[in-house]
Amino acid sequence: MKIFIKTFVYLIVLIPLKAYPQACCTGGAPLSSSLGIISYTGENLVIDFSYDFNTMKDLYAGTTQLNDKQRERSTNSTILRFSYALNNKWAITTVLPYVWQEQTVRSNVGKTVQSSSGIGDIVLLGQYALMQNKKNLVLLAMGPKFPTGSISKTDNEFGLLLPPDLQPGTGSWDGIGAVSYSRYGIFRPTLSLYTLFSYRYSFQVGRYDGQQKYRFGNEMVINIGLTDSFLLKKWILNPGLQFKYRNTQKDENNGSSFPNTGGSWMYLVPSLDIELTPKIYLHSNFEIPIHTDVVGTQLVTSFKGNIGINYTLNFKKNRAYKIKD
Amino acid sequence: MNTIFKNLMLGLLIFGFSCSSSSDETFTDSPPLNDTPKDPTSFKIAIVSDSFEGEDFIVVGSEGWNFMVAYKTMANGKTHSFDAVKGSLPVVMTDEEGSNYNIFGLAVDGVNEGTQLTPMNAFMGYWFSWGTFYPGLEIFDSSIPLQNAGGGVQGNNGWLVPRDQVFVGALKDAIPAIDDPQFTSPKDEGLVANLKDDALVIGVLLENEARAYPHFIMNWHEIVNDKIGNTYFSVVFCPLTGTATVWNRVINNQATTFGVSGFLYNSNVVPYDRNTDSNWSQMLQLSVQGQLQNTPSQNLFVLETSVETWKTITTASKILSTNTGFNREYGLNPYGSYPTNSAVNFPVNFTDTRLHPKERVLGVLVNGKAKAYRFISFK
Repeated sequence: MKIFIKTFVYLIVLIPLKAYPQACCTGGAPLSSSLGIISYTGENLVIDFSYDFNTMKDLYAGTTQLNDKQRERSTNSTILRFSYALNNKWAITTVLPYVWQEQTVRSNVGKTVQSSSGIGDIVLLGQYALMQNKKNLVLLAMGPKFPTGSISKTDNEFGLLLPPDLQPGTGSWDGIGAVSYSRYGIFRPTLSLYTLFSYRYSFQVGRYDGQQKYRFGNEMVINIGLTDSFLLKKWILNPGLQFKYRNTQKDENNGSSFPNTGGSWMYLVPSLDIELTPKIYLHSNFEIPIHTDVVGTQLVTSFKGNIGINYTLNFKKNRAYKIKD
Repeated sequence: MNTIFKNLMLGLLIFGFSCSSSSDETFTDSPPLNDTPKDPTSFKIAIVSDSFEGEDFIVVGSEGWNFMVAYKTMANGKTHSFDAVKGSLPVVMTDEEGSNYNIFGLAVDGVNEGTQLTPMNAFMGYWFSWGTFYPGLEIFDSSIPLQNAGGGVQGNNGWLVPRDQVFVGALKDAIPAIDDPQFTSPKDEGLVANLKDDALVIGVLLENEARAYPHFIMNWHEIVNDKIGNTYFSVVFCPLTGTATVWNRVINNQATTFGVSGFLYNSNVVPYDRNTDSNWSQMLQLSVQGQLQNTPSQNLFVLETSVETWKTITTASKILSTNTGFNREYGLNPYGSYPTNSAVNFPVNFTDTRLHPKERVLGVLVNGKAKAYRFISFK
């Protein structure tokens, strides 16, 4: 029985949130890895360091993929996340991204490469466990995204301001809210269902010294997935499979819709987490696009992945995590 | 708990899918006027005689037929006067000696048959673009007080324009110019054949050959490097300013091609020539940076009008084919409702609110100054 309870706990802890990926045509922090909306043991500090890579080379018009490989864009980022649980109900998480972006255009007269890098937009979330017992866990989270990322990167040749989709930051304050529900012991004791609904509301930002009033479209992400748990020698393996639906509204520019922004995307997200010790685990996931429906024409994700390591520091020992009946 | 679980899941799904956005952009490419006549029998053609910066010229236009063109009144040493001719397209006017002239300024009969009027340096564009590039410009037959009169800007950092007002809209060649244009007859190709009558085309007549470049293709490429006979030219179209120009692409006795730099100045395309990599301003009509800086463009006559008019005034016309060498969703306007809404996507030096930002006007350029003509003057 202990091993099952332990497994449950790890399942809760290990299931990552795959929300807020790099918008296909907007700049900013690629918060594709965990925002950390998971259950925490009181007075623990969780440090998570991950590497996220996103390759975009598929050009879509609506639901149609265009036969065009002229453009390619890659976004690599490291994401450092700190989560501190005040107690078993309340936790605070901050996400600190660093972003490298590169865009390449190939034409019959040559190749153009443009890149930029820098600290992205930092997120701060407060989290509350609305319900937690053996079978169910309901978490609420909300907080701001700060405009800490640079929006003033310039091109290499002339020092001209790069377009927003090549800036590490969005320049805007955003509000993020999320609710997750997990249910444990589906069909078998170690199999769990995980759902997450999250929403980002973007506020207007003045670009180009305030000459352009721009607002990124609000974004909604729904994740639904299953995760199981297996023992392999000393390690616990947690393979998972999620369905992810993401929708963004069109951006607004000076009060009008901005072309070629907004759309819906669906992904399958296989994941594997490996617990090396009770305090350390490795995590990985890959996003495989299964349906794309963009407004206008947009370059979309061809392949995306995230790998990372998670370490838990116990500040108060001898207090075991208890699950309410 | 099971009930909560089910309701939560159902709610998430319903909310999620109800937020799906539509990708069914309506293809619009019309000026924001709602009183344009629709019945060709009611279309009027009008002429205004004007003088600007010491130059005497006429502007012939028709709101219904959707064109405005400007010609000098002096030809072959004589100054002519003109009256409009209705219902005889491509003939649009007659002179005081009874010779009829077609829309391209060629006398087609009478004592002056064969006389070619000299086109003014003029092209169509959204009002906001004329207002920002030529602050304080006069609008023909308008009593609205001028705005931004006396305004001007200075170049810097090696540019003839303020470098900090040049923005990167896209990377170089991300919008691919068409270098090997193919043409089709108006009836032969699906999207071209199904163009709505009021869809806009950029018309070129060189060496007696007429070619049309539809906006719906130009929206995706902005530049076509073309050749008719011995004339090498580039059709340059900026979807953000709605401006179409045709440039001779033989510069310093060398044929070049133009590409899309991805830069925008006053929200207007900045082409670059591939021989020297110099950057040009379409609306300023000169190179603003690079080896050819200060070199003016050699402008050829351009007629921007509706496909209906173009079909009426030309025979054996060729229309740019969607077989461009690039896979694009040409049935979709990548700029959405931009041609008709009031948004200006990138910062501009001056904002002139006398007209709707997207009203299409004809700008006539003389000595680096501009004067605007509205369709309302040609009802």
